[in-house]
Amino acid sequence: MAPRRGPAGKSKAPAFSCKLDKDLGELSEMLVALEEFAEKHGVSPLQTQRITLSVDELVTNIIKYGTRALEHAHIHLWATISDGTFHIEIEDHGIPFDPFHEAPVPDTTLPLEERPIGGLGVFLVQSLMTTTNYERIKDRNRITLTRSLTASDQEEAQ
Amino acid sequence: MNLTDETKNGVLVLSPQGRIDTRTSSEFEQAVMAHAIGPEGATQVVMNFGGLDYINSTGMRVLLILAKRLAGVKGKLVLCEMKEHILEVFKISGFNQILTITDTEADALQRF
Repeated sequence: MAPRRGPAGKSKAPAFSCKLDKDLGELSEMLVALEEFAEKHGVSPLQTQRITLSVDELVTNIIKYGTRALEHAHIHLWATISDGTFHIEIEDHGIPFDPFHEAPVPDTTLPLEERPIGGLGVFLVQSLMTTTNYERIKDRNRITLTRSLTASDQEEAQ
Repeated sequence: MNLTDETKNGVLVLSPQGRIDTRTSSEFEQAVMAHAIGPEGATQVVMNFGGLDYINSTGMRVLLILAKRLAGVKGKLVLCEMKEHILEVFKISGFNQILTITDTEADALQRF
C-alpha cells in the first residue's frame, strides 16, 4: 500500500487497508480480514457485523455493476477506528454511481406476494451505518461510511 | 457454506452453516431449491439458522424466492434460531413481517 492519508488522518489510529479486483473470492477474504481487524480492536460482534455487511453490499454492487465493463476494478478500501467511530472509505474506477441517491428505495412494507426480489443492499447500508456519503473525484467513485461505536451497542439500527 | 437436511414430523429442516455471501449464495440457492422445490420437493420447510454466521442481501433474496414459491403451492417456510445481527437485518428489511421467525426449532415445528 502506498503511503496515503487515512480516512481519519490520525497516524496512531488502528488502520486497515486492502486493494481488490472484481473477484468475489477476494471480497470474501477481505470481509473476513476486516472482521478480524474490528474484533481485534474491541469492536463488538454486532457492530462488526453491521460494518462487514455494509462493505459487502457496496463492494458487491461495484463488482457486479459498476466495474462490469472494466478488465480490472482496482477497488481500494481503507478503515480506521478513532474517536469512538469506525471510518470506512471505498474507491473504485467504475462508472459514476451514487448508490445513496440513485438506487431505488425498497418498500419494506409490501406483502410477500408483492415483494420484488432484490434491491435491499443499499437500503441495509443506510440503515446500519451512522453516516453515508458519495463523491465523484476525477475518474473515481468514493464512498465514505461511518459507524458510531459509542452509541448504545444493543440499540437497534433504524 | 454447508447445508444439511433432515425431515422431522414431515417437515423438511434445512440448516445452513457458515457464511452465505455473494460468492456462495448461488450454491445455497441450488441446494435449497433442489430440496424444497420441484415435483418431489417438500412444501413445509424450516430453515434453522443456528449455525449461520453471516448472510447478505444475495442470500436473503434466495429466502424470498423460496417463500414465494412455497406460498404458491400452499406450503410454508419458517425460520428459526437466528443470531442477533442476522435478526436485526431481517427486521430492517421487513422480512419479519412477511416470513415466520421463531426462537427455537421446536417452536418452528409447532407452526405446521
